[in-house]
Amino acid sequence: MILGARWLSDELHWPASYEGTDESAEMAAITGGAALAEVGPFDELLLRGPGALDVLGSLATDPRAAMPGRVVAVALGGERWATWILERDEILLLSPSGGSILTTRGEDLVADQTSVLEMSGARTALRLVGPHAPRILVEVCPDDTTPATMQQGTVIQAPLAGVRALIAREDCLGSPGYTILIARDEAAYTWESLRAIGTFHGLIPVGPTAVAAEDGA
Amino acid sequence: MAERRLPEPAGSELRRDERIEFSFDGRRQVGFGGDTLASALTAQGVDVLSRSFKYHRPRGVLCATGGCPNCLVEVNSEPNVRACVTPITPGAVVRSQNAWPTLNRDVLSLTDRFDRFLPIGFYYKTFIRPRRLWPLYEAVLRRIAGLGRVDLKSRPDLHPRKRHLHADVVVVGGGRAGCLAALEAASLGSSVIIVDDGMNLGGELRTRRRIVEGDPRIAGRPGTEAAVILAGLVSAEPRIEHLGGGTAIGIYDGGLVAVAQGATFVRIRTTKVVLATGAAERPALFEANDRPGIMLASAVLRLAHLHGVRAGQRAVVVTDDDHGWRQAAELVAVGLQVAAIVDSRTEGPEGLIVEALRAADVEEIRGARVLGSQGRHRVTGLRVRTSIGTERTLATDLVVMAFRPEPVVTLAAQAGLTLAFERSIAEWIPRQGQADVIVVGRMTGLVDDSLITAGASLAGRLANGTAGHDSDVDIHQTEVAAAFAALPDRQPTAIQRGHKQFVCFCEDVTAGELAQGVREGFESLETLKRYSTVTMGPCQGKQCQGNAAQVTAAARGVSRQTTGLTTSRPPVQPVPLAVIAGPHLNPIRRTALHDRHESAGATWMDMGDWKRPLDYGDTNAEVRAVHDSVGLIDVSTLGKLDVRGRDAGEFLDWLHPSRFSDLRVGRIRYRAMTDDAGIILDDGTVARLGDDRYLVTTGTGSLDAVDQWLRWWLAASDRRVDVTNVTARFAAMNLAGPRARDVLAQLTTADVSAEGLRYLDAREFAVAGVPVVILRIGFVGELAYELHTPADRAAHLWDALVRAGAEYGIRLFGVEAQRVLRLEKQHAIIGQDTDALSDPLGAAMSWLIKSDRPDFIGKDALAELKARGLRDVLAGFEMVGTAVPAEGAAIVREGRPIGRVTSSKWSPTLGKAIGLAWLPAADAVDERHITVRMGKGREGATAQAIVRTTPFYDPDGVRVRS
Amino acid sequence: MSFLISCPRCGPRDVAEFQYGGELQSRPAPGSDIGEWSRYLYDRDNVAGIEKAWWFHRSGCRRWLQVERDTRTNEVGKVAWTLDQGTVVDG
Repeated sequence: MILGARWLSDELHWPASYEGTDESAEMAAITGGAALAEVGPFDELLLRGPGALDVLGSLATDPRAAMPGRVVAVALGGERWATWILERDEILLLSPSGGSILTTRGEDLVADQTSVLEMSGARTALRLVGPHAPRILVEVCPDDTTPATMQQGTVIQAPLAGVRALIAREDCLGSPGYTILIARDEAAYTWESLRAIGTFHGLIPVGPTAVAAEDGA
Repeated sequence: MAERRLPEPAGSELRRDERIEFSFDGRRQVGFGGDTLASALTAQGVDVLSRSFKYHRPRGVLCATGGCPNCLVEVNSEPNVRACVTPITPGAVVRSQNAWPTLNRDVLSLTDRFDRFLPIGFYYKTFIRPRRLWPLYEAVLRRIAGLGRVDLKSRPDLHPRKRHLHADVVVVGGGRAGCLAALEAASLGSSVIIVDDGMNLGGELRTRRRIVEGDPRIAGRPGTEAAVILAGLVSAEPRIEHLGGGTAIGIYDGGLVAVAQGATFVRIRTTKVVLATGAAERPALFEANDRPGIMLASAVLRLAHLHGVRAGQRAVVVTDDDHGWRQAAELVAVGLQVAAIVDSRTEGPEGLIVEALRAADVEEIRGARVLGSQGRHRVTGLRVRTSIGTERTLATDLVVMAFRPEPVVTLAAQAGLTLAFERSIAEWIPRQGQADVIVVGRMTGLVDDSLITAGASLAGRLANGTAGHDSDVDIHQTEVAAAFAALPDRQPTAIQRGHKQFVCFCEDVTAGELAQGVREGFESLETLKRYSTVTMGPCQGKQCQGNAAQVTAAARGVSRQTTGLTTSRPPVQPVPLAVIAGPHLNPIRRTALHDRHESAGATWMDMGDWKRPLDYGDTNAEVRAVHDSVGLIDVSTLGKLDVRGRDAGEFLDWLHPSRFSDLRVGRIRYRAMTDDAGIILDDGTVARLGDDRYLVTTGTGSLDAVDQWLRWWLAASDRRVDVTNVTARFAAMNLAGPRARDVLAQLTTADVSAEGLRYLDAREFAVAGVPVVILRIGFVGELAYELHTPADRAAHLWDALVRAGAEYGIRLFGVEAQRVLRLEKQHAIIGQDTDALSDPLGAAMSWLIKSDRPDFIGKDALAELKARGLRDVLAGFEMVGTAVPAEGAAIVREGRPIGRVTSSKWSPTLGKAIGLAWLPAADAVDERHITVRMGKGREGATAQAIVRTTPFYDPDGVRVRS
Repeated sequence: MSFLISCPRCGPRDVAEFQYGGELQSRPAPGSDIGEWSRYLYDRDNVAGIEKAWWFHRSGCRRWLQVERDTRTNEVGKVAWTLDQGTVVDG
C-alpha cells in the first residue's frame, strides 16, 4: 500500500482501483456498504496567526460560512480549494492539483498577523464513504461522529484508533461520507485499522475518484 | 429424553427443527437451536454441571440468568463460561471444571468431609505451621485453588470490539418497566439506548402466564404475549437502539455507562440513565440447600418458557411470601407437576391463586420450616418441620425456592443514589434523589402492575426532560408510599441452626461460618465480607448479599437496617480483560522510507511508536563504512518544529539557556532546553532559515512534549509566534562520511565545497531535483549533511543518493551503528545519558549557558547550581579489558556505588569497549582509574576502566569540520 | 476517571483526551530567592475544593486551556482559554 508516493517526474503511482473490485462493486459499497479510498495527491497550505480567518474571509465565495469548525470552498488563483477552518488562527487549505501557485499567492498573504506554511505531503487524506461508514467510525472514535450530530461540512479534531485525526463530514452520492486527515507517518496504521474494523461492516478499498467529496476536495 | 421437554408453546426461544450436537466431558450431547448449554444438558438429564470451589460439592443449575457460579464450564478451551446463558454451537467441546478425575467422581470432594479444617478464614489459621512445610502447603493449595484452567496453547476465538455510542437516555433493563420508559422517552423525541441481558426483551414477562394490567397496549394479555408486543413496539421505534445480550457493568462520571455485550464493549455517553434492573429471587437457607435440583423459581420458569425444558418431575415450592404462591401457579400453568407448597407463614393468600393450586392437587403446608435436603447428585427429598412440630420428608426431585425477590440495586448504589430500608418489604430500595439517574419497576420494591406502569411512564418523561413535572413526581411518590404503608411490616425468615446452609455458593461459605466470623469479632458486614470472601466470587453478591446481611444481623442481634449492605463497585458482572481492552489497535508510525528499509533487509526496532531500522545486518561494517567512506541513515523520526513570526527569535531566547536571536540567517546552533529547575528537557538544533523563520529539531521521543511546552509558554503571552509541527512534512536523512561531499556534489549544482557549505551552515537548494533544506552538522563524528525534504519526495532522493554513492561503497546504517558512532565522540543522548535530575553543568554542557540577559527559563536555577559547584558529572570511559558493561552498571569504590554507566558499546573503530558514565566530579579527570561492576546485584564481578574526558575518536573534531 | 471537559473549540470531550498541566501559578520574578523558586517548582496548593488548572487537549485541537474543577467530585465548572485575564504565565 503506497501511501502518498509522488515522484518528481510526475509519474504518479496511484491506486486507481484494487484487485477484485470493479466499478459496480465500488458503487454497491458506496451506496449500500462502506468504501475506503486514499485521496491524492493534493497540496496543502497552512495559515497561522490571528489574521488567518480574516485573510480567508476576503477570499471565500461565501464569507459568512467561514467559521471555525467548518469546511468551505474557496477560489484561489483560478482553482477551488477546500479550507478546513480548525480555529480562527489555524486554517488548512487543500487543493487537488499539484503545482506551486501557492508560493506566489502565499507572498501576498503574508503579513505580520498571518503566516503561510507549505505543508504538502505532511498529511494523508482518506475518504470513508457509505451507509456503514458511521458504524465503522463509532468503533474507532470516542467522540460523536454520527450523521445526526456531525452535520455536513463540519470538521472535528479527535482521536481515531488512538491517533489524532482531522475528520470532516463530506457526503457523497447521498451516502454519509467522511474525509480523514492524518499525519503521513500514521497513515498506513490508520488505513490498516479502518480496514480491520471495516471487515465486520463489508468495507472495501476503492479508487479515489469514486468517492470524491461532492464539493470537490 | 422426551419427558424432559415441554410441548409447545413452551420454549419461546427454541428452534425445534434445528438439531445441534456438542460434547460434555467427552460424551455426545444434543440440543435444539435456541438452547443454552445448561438447558440442553438439563433436557438430556445431566444434573451435575460443576464442583464447588472449596468443598467440591456437586452443583447444578440454580439461577439460569448467569448470576451464580454453579454452571461455569470450559467451552472450546475458554474457561469460566456461564452455561446457562451461552447458546450451544455445533461441535462445541465443553468440559467441566474443578473436578478430578471426573465430574461425578471428584477425589477432592473429600474436602467436604474435612470441613472442620477449612473454617472461615482458614488460611489465617491452618496450613501455617510447621513453617518448613509451607512450600508443600503452597504447592498443594495453588493446584486446588482457582477456577478454570488456562490453556496457553489455545487461542480463544475471541475478536473483541469496542463501540462508542451517544444517546440522550440509556435504559438499563429491558423488562416491562424499562421498555415502557424507553418508549415514552422516545415518543417525546429522545434518542434512547436500551440495554438488556436477555436475548429478547420482556424480562420477567417472558416467564409469566398471569394477565398483565396497567398499560393499555398490553393490558389483559398474558405476560408472554405482552413481552412480544413490547419487543415489537421497541424495534419499530427508530429512536431506540436495543443492545441485547448486554450487561451494564458500571456507571461512571460524566454520564458514562459501560456495557459488556458478548465480545463487544460498548461505552455510552448519556445525560439521563433510567435504571430498571428488576428484582431477583434469592436462595433459601436450609441444610444442603445447594444440591443439584434445588433451583430458584425464576430459573425453573426460564428453562420452561424460554427453552421448553422440564426441570424436574415432582416439584416442591418453598416460600415466605405471596410471591411463592404466584410462582407455584405459574409452574402449574406451564405444565410442571407441583406436589406441595411449603410456606413458613401461617397466614397466606386466599382467593383465585389458592383455588388454582388446589385444583392442581398441590398440597398446602403452612407454618412449616424447611430443615434440609436429601439425595446425592440430585435432590430426592426435602425434610420439613410442620407447624405442629412433626418432621416430614417430602419426596421431590425439584425444590423450587420462591422467596420474595430482592430489588437489584447495585447499579443504583454505584450511580450515587442513597438506599433506604423499606420495612414493609424488609428490603433496601433506592431513593429517587438525583436528576440524572431515575429508577423504575420492581427494583423500587413495587409489585403492583399499575403503579409500575405509572412510574415507568413518568420516568420516560423525566428522562426526556419534559419540564414542570414536580407535581407528577410528588403524586407518584405519595402513591408509592401509600402502597408500602398498606403492607404489614414483613418479618424476615428466622435463621435456624444447621450444618451446611450455604450462603455463598461461589466460595462455599455457610451461615454457620458467617456466625462464627461474627463471634470472632468481624461484626461489620464489610470486614466480615473480606474475612469470609462472601460476595467476592463470580456472582458478586447476586445470590448471597441479602442472605449474608440477614445472617450477620441475626448473629449480632441487630436489625438488617443496622447491618446495611457492602459497597457496590463495578464491574457488576465479571468481564474478560480482553473485552475491556478491545481490538488491538496500537499506533505504529512509519517514516516515508519504510519500504526502502524493508527491502534492504533492515532489522526493525521500536522507538516509541516509530519503527526504525536497528541495523541492516552488520553493525560493525556499517560503522566502518561511515568512517572510511560514506553511510546513509534515515533520521525522519527527529522532531521538527517550524517556528516563525515577529517574536520567534526572542521566544527561542526565552526557552533556552543559550541565545538564538543572534544566529545569522543560514547558520545552525546546537540547542539544549531546560525547565525552571535547570533540568535538561531536550536537545537538538536550531537552524535560522530567514529573518523570522527557524527550523527547530528535537529528539525523536520528545517532539510531543516539546510542542506542548512551547505552546504552553505561548498560551498566556501575546507574542507573535507560530509554532507548527512539521515532523511528518519533512523526511530527513543523514549522509555521513569522508566521501559524503563527493556523493552530494554529483546530485546538485549548488556549491557544496568546504568553503561553500561550511560546518554549521544551513542552506536551501535542490538535490536530485528535489527541494532540500540541508544542514551541515555532525553527530557521528564525520563530515555529514542532514537533508530535509518533503516526505513525498523522500524515496526519490534516497534512491538517488544510494545510486550516486555506489561507486564509493555507500552503506545504509541503522540506529545501532549511529549509537556506536556518537559514543566514539562522547555525544550525550538526552534521556539515556541524562535523567530527571540532570542539569547542563553536570552534563558537560555549561558552555551553552549565556546568562548575560534579563531572564530566560532556568536562569536563576542554573545560577544557583553553578554557585553550589558540581557534584556528579557525565564523563567518558574506556574499559581496560574487552568486556562491555551493561548500560546501567554501577561504578563502585570499596564495594559501594559512586556512579553509573549510562551508555556502553563495543567500538570496532577503536577496538575497545567505551562508554559514558556519571561520576563524582573529583573522579571525572583524564586517566583516572575507576571500577565498574559488570554483573547484577552486589556480588557481580568488577572490571577496571579509565576515564577519558575528551572524545575517543578525532578529539579535535577535524574530520567533522572538513 | 471519566468526566468530561468542554474544550472551548471542540466541545465536551472525555478527560482522557487531555493532559493535566498543573495548577495555575505565578512565576517568580528573576532574582527571587531560592525559597520562592522551590515553592513555584515543587509546592502545590492541592485543594480539596475548586481547583484552577491547565489542561492540554492533546488528542484534539492541541491547545492549552484553563479549567475550574471541584477535586472532591470531579465536577467541572468554567472552562476557557484563560479563566481570568490576570492569569500570569509571564515570559
